[in-house]
Amino acid sequence: MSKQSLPESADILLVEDQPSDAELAARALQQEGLDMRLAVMRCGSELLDYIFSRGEHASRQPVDLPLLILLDLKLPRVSGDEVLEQLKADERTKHIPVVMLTSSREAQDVERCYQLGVNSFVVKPVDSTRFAETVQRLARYWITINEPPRTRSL
Amino acid sequence: MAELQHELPEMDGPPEDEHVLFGAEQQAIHSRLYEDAPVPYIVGTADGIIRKVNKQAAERLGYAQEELVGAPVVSIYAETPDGRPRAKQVLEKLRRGDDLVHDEAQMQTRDGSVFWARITIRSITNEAGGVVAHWGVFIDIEEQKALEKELRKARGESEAEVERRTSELSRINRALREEINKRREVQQEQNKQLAAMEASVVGMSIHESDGTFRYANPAHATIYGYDSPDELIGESWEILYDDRQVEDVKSEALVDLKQGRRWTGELRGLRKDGSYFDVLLSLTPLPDGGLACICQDVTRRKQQERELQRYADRLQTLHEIDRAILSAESPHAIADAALERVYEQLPCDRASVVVFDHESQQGEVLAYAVGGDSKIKRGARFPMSEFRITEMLESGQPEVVHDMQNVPPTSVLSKLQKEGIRSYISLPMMLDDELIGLVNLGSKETDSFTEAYQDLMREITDQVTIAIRQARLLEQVQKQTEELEQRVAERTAELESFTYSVSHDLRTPLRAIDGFSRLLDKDYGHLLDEEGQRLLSIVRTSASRMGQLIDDLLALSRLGRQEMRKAPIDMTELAHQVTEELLRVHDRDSVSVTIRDLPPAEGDRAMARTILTNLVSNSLKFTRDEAEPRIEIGAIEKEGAWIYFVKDNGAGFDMAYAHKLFGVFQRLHDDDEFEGTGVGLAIVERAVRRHCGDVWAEAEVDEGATIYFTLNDVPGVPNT
Repeated sequence: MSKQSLPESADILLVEDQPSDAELAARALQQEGLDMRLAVMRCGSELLDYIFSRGEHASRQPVDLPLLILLDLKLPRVSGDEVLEQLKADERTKHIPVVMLTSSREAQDVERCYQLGVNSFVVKPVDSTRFAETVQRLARYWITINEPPRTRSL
Repeated sequence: MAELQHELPEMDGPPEDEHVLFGAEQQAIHSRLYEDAPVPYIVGTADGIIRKVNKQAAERLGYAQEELVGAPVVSIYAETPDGRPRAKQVLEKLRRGDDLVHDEAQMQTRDGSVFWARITIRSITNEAGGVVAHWGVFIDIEEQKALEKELRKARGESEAEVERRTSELSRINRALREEINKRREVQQEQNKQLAAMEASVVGMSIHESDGTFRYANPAHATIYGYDSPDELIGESWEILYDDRQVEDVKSEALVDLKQGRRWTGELRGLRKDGSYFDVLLSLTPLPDGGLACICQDVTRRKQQERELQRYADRLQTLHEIDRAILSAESPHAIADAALERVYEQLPCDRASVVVFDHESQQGEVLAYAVGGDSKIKRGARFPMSEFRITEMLESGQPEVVHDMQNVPPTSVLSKLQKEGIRSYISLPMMLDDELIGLVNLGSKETDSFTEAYQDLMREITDQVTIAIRQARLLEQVQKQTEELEQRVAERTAELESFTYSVSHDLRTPLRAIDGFSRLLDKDYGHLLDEEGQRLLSIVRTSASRMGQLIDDLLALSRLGRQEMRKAPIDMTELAHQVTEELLRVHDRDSVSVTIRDLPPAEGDRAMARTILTNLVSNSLKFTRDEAEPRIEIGAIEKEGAWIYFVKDNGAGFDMAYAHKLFGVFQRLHDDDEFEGTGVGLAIVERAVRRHCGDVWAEAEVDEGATIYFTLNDVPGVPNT
């Protein structure tokens, strides 16, 4: 996915450096028919640029903040936990639900993410069917079941 | 008073018989004699009737002569047991034919007084031999009897007296004999003692109250270097000691003696020739104010004592060094400990231990001890050439330099000399004929190191050498062990991290294979023929299998690295939870599962759950084809420890492969029969091991399997 295809605003931001996983996740969300805007990014710095409308996304005119950020842990350049740390450290973004969607089951990773204020920590199932189900369930919960914060703009 | 009874008519004149016997003349003479005889005289008939009594007899008996004639003879005898009965006995004897009878009997006077008489009666026979008369004479023996009685009494008394005196005498005699014996023994004893005293090697003497010799045995003289005791007799004991000792004796020993106490002690004796020696004295006060002295030359004993003491000191030194060395661990500590003791116990001004590194040709000062400041510090390294390593040292012999000015200086020696060291000894530390170091002792005096000193130092050096060698070996071993452990740890970490990252990294492509092959199947499956669909399904199954494998490997890897969280675990409850969950997931309600009461465990609950989950899963899997599948979870107690088990009646396995059971990727069944990754029991094994427990199996093909495991050896938890 190219940066050009990123919408001005999205409901779910997915940060995933593996294109196959990104596509499987995107497909799963489309299938669910939630009618939501998905933006997929390949690395942490891109997400931060997008959210804060800077760098390559300086020209972006954001309408709303996302309803959910799905964040992989092992990302090139700026890793998932660094992104998380910055998001949760910023008054403007700290209320955005962030779910780690990662292959890691390492206790220290889990601990660290919760320390940084992650809202949920989910391990990617190897099985693609279950992976798809997991992504769908997450989206349904955070978008439709969970009551989002009132403030949705920066 | 007895009245005489006349049995016969009174007769005139002598009996007719007398005529027969004597002629008339004779008879007249006889009668005359008879009548006038100063002896009482009685003639009686054979029948015992008195026929005639002379004047003497009548008088004695108190009768008139005529009164008695015709009376029975017995009537003149007393009416006592010694009177008439005896008279009758006499008559009887006569009647029986005795012609002469002597007897004593009690007779009786007319007035009844009784007297003893000696009677002699003779029978008078006629020619035909018939008894015609009895002639009797009696003599009053009353007086004699009384005398006799008196005499007898007197004799009795005297005998008693004699007896008493005799016994007294014999007693005295005995006492005397004993006394004599005793005195003899004492004498002998004294002789013996004297002989013993004379011959004794122990000096003995007796002194007058003024201290002069009354007696001295030869040994006493010899001990003090005199030729004969005579030289001492009359002299004062004071000549045997110098003034100081004399004063000591007076102020100490003599005070005790005056109070009646014995004194024993050692003095420094002064011989005649002026030499001194050690003498052991025992002084005993005598009742007369003198004293007895026993003395012994203990110079040799003292020498031996001193030698023993030296020996003991030496042993002590060695022992202390031993102990110090034993408690030390590094060569440095050993050398320090040894030197500290040497420095304490053996006089020297400087001590050091140097070890050589033959590769770098350097010597390192392991330890040193000095009185003052030293230019040579511990840990300092010098080229070996700086040390004066002589051939003596290289051959294992100590090198003694009595005066350093006599040897060519090296820089090390010069430094020592500047510190004032004048003599030194170097002792080689030899290891397998190689000089590995030196123990050096220096003194500010020349000629400080005696043979004895060298001997002791040699022993100490040997000990230090052995200890340093041990310590070096130990250090090597420890270093190697640490290196090995380090390497193992690194390798393990590498391996774990490799396993983890590989497993982790494999997941994404695998999910892609799985996900996209599924999409392919879903979206384009209808375009594929049967073979195409079969091939696609193989891709999908393989992906799924690989996913399981990776999950298992990750679990295994995690188990190895995961921190243990120890807590009490209710194993019964856990077994129920695990079983219910698995039965639900696998939809195997038909399995009969028996869960016994399990003893609680202490350990990591998650790991315990992993263990039970894997074991019960296996049992479910392997009982799949059983008509009546049964699983039992229980525990048995053995030697005080609990052993948990999970037992099933499933496919079992051949015990010949039991050793492979817990290896990673080890499978004992074909995939066609029972699918699996071969990691499950490896996970169980690792979890059990992390609890310091044990796991093993018992099985038989088609008869089921039982997996046993223990958890109770968790570190820090005492065995029950």
